[in-house]
Amino acid sequence: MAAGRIEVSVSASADVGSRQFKYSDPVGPLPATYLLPFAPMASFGLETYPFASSYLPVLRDLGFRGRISQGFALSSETPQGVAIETSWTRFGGEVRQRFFVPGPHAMELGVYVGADASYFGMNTTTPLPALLPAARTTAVRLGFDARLLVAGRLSLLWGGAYLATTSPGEIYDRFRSPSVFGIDGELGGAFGIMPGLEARLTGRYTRYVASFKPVIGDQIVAGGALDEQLQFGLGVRYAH
Amino acid sequence: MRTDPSAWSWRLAFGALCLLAGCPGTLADKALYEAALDAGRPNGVEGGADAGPCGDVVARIFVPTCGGSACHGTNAPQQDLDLVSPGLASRVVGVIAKGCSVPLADPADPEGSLIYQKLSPTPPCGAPMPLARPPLSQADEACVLGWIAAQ
Repeated sequence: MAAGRIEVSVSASADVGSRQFKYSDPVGPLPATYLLPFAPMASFGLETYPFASSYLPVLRDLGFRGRISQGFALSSETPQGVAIETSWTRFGGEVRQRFFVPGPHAMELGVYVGADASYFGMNTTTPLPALLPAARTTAVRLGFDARLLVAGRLSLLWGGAYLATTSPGEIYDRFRSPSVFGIDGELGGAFGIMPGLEARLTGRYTRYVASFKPVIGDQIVAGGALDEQLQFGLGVRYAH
Repeated sequence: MRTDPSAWSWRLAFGALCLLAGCPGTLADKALYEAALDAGRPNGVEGGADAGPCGDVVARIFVPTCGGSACHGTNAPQQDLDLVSPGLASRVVGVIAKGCSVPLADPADPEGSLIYQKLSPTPPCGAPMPLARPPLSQADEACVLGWIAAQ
């Protein structure tokens, strides 16, 4: 399916997620690296352009979209083998303006602004010699995306966004004067199966970057932290 | 002073990369924090006689290092700064240094305090301290920083 002026689309995919949280210049044993190598997830998305069937020049390409990904059956443990109750939910929504570039390799470009959240919950009753990087991170998401018809039914998808955090999350409360922002990138492919229906393979890499300003006397010290989240999904999208 | 253009190019390239990819913050002097942790602080920096591994910072560091007769002792101290007599905190916390517009000790900004900055090779004014003596060890510098922070 080439780039087209759709009114509404729904998507679903089976995903795998991964998260690594590590510190730069950690002092002492508390700021320890955390790794969740594999997390099964399910994702759903909805995108709509309410005025797509009108002839209003800008409004017909102004749309809304939302998505949610939920991890399930997560198992997580520290390097010492202590099991941690873990949950992971990612969700977000945006207002998107799309633009079409006709040609043999038709392209759809989009710019958007919205909100994004990653809720990573961790809990254990066992005393741990390290901090748990639990974080309910919320951010304003500002970005672009593109869809390029490569050949026949195959399209390439990519995009990037800046995440201005509005609430960085619990782990950052442990550090003095945290400054956190994020970026993310998306890359994928779509293959048209039949009119309106396509299979999709997508990947999203999100990177939250933190800087701290500790002073001598702080009990927990690090220069900063890097929270990397990776998600791959295989699914379908139906568009009308 | 001449600078190497290639070094600046690398710094600019690294800065641009960090801007694009996002690099986490770093500690300018990680060894100081490690020394403080090794010294068992922050519980041992209050400056009392039983103040943990840092000990009584005033008695152990300030008095023998700074309290010489021509320095910051009790008798006609340099810059009117007596680092020896009891009640040192009341004479330095929030007090602007004589001849230098920097607080002598600011617990909210220990690293910006003149008492600490004078321990570096390039203080904001005057000569590095202690004058004509070996510099303090890194651990003792951390103890001084901790003493300021604890006031």
